[in-house]
Amino acid sequence: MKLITRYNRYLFPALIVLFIISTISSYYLIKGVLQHELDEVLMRSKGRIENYVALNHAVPVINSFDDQKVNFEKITGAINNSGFTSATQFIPEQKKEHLSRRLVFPVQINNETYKVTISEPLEGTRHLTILIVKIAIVTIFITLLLLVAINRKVLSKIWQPFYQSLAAIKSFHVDAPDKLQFPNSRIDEFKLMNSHFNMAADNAVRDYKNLKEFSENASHEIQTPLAIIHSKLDLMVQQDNLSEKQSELLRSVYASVNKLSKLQQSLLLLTKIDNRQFQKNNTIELKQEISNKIEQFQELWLARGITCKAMMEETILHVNKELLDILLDNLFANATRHNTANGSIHIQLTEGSFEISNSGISKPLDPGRIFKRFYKGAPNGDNNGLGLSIIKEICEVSTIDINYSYQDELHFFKLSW
Amino acid sequence: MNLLIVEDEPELSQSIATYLLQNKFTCDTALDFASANSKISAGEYSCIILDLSLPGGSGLELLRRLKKINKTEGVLIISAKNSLDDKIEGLELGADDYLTKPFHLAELSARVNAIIRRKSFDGNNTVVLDKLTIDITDKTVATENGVVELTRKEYELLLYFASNKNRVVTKESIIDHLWGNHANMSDTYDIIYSHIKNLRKKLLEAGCPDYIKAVYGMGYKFMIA
Repeated sequence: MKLITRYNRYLFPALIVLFIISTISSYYLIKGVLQHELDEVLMRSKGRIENYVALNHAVPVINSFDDQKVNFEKITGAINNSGFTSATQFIPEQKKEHLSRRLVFPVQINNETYKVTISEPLEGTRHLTILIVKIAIVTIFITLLLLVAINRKVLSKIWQPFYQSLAAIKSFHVDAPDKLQFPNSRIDEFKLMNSHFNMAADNAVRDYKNLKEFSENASHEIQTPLAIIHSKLDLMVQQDNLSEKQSELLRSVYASVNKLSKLQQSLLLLTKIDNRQFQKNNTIELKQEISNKIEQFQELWLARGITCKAMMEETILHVNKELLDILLDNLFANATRHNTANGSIHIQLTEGSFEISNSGISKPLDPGRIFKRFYKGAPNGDNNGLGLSIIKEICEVSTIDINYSYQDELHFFKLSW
Repeated sequence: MNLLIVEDEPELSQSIATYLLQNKFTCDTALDFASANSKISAGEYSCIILDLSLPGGSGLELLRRLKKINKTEGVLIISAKNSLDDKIEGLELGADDYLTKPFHLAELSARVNAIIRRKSFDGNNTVVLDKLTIDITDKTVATENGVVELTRKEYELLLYFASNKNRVVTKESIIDHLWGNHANMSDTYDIIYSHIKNLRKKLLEAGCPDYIKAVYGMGYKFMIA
């Protein structure tokens, strides 16, 4: 729900209630004023009648052109309903019943009591009511329409800097080379928001840089001692007089150091890709590259009884050659390493996509986690869990989409560009 | 043959020297830019093993100076930086090869030997290894009984052994040498084993003594008296 919708949900009912209340009260107020006017007219008529009676001592002859009706009725005793009342009256000219205001009072003419009834139709107030309701409805509609229009046009324009800031934040990346740019705004709230966004972004960039520098330095600093250990072990294995026990220990240390070196080189590679150190793009005939890779892996596949089926079309791809080689190496190694004995690998290359699938464990991998660093689907001593994140990273910098799926007992990795 | 090892880490420098010394190389070492510079200007080397980050200057600067004074020494860069720019720049400045730390000393030896072969054998590119004659250009191996038919991997393996004769070559370094990046799979040990077995059989059939000895748990040793 948009803020403005939420705002309107409060505003519109309130406005409608306000209009209804003001309509009703203005109706009653105006009606009261008109009735008061009418009553004064009736009182003036009463005065005139009393004056006439006081002078002439006779029932006046009423000659009225308006709707005022005066009626004299001789009565005995007192009048119990003197004063103003509202009643309905039949207007013969219009052949309609009309509400009317009526004043009843007694007059003494020649010692006889007459009940005088003056009545005046309330025609005006009826029209007035209709008019007021009409005006009210029209005003409500116009106001609401106007509000909607203002919201649509003006408010969306006023909120523009907000959405622009959001768009800027959305495209923000901690390792982007450009500083975050927010639109200028004269609105204090937006200025505040932008300055806070900027602060948060600067902090994030600074923290990220520090962290990156630290991990880069750490990798580099580890390299030299690791190289020394490695070289010393290389010399140590040359010793002729090692006992079986010593050989066993040495072999184990050697294997671990070797693994550590591999891990370290993979991490450095990831850092290099992260740092966009592979800028240059080459035009690559992918079919040729993949055929070469298949040839390189043939021996490994043969040893495990893995069969490989490939369907390939000629395709040109513009990527960094070195990265592509690493990408294919990792994809192929992945399909091989996680395969079963006598399993299969299927390769499909078409214009715009490359698909490699392999048999393996008969349940899908967790697609949300496989590309994470150090993810291991199954405990496997030879696997450092970086292969897929290297694949992912290379795809990202080369603007290639990669998707994992599991169908018919096969694990699919599909690259599309 | 004389080598110069330019490496600021004395322990590593010493390891390299010790390993290569046994390969009938004589090794000079330089631990900083200045001494490396003077040694390069004064001496003649078959190959220079060059670390790029040195106290007092960059290894790349040394490469530039080498080029300036028209020295044609082979240069193998060993770097902890593993940065592509350095690699490209180094190779453009005339370095022959690039090896990232950490590395197998056997691999280093193989690379140094390859550089020296490229630099010093003019046309006549053969390596004589006891009864074997390896033709680097044609990638063929022969004995007095004629050509030994080897697969590509077996040939590469033999050449690797030739650069590390009488040394224990670990299985890990063989795998890295033959398969490179995508090699860390346990199956490769079996493949190594079958390659060694075939190579050994072919060499024996060609009338050679049994050169290849298995070193328990560690790897293999190519023994030449």
